[in-house]
Amino acid sequence: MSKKHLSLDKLHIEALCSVAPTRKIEVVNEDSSDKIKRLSRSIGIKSKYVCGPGQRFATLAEEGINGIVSKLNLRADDIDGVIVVTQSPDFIIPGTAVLLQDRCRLSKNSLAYDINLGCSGFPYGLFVANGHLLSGMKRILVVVGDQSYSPGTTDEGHGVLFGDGCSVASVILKDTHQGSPAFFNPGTDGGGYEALYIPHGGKVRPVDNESFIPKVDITGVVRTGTDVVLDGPKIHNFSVGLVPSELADICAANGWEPGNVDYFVLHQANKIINDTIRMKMKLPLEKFPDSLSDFGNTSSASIPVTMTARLEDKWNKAGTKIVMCGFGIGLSWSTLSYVSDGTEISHHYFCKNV
Amino acid sequence: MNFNEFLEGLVVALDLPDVKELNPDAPFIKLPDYDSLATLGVMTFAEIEFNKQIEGQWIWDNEITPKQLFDHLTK
Repeated sequence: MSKKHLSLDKLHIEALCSVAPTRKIEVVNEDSSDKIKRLSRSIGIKSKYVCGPGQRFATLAEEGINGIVSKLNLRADDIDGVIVVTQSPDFIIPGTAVLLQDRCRLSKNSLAYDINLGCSGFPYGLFVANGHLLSGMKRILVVVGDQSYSPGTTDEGHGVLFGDGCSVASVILKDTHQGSPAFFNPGTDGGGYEALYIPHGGKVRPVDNESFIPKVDITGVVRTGTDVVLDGPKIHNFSVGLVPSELADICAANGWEPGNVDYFVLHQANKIINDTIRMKMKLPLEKFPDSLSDFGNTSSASIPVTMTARLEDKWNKAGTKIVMCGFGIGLSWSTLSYVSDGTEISHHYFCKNV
Repeated sequence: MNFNEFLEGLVVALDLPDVKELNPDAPFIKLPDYDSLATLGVMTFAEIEFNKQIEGQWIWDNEITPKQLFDHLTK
């Protein structure tokens, strides 16, 4: 398929809730090594929230769904489906969405399934939900996020970078958007999968005793086979090479000048990547809201977390033009443009579930 | 950007506590505490200052020196 901007004509986010776990980690403290201080400064992460005892991604998701049901005063029958975009499932099988249908007492007639995507996941989730809505469904909940922080990792970069988080969007179709439809543009380069992956645990390389033996790579990073391999330079080149043109393309599809977009809400990869993208776009800092510094990289939740935590009630003012762009694991990327109609509910809170 | 400015910019981009100046002919990977984060600094410097993408692996595999990098970026 050639590059195509897919129109999401009436897609409307009626509510967006983000749920942060309760355990706060200050990345740098008085005992931190010089390397950790340097990592924190370069990657741009000062603190983050991670799941505490008794919390996991699905715990956050359950509270997020219940929160949005309460905010919108919905009954179980008002929700036709829940799509969970995560790489932190409760079990390898079944998916987490089916478990959440039961835990949140959603209708047994509802659709529920998982999508295995990370950083690009939020625009994807909205796009997939839009397809179900066009088929006649009335309301879909899109749940995104991950529990990427690994307390035991010896990979200092990983230890600094990732936070945990979850967001839930309730989406419907509505005649709105100030005459400007949402557009979606996806992309995939599976040839780059080794830039960000977990080598052991799948059918190619099942976990065995060797999976837990730490090994040093060429750059001096120590990992086991079950740790996330993150090739920072490869992800960097992929991101800064691709994202500016993706942002410009979707602006062109809308007939927007990039300078007239209110917010470019990017996946919160790291400060180096996001700053480089912004500098290549030659646009001011205010157009690129950041949640990295206090939430870390929260995978597929990083775009909505930035909207609810940093933009709060700014993204949902009538006529606000937003371009979202997720990029990373896969390699996969997705861009979505959206114009708020002023009725969207935005809420950010901390998980009470333990 | 002349070569001296290039070296000064690289020192900032590397952000290595024990590196205050660079030997133009010494490979980056021999610098004290050189790591993937320092590589990212070099790559970002090349991207922003020269609008050119370089591969991190290229710096490691070929033991690239500041002089070789300058030649590569300005050729």
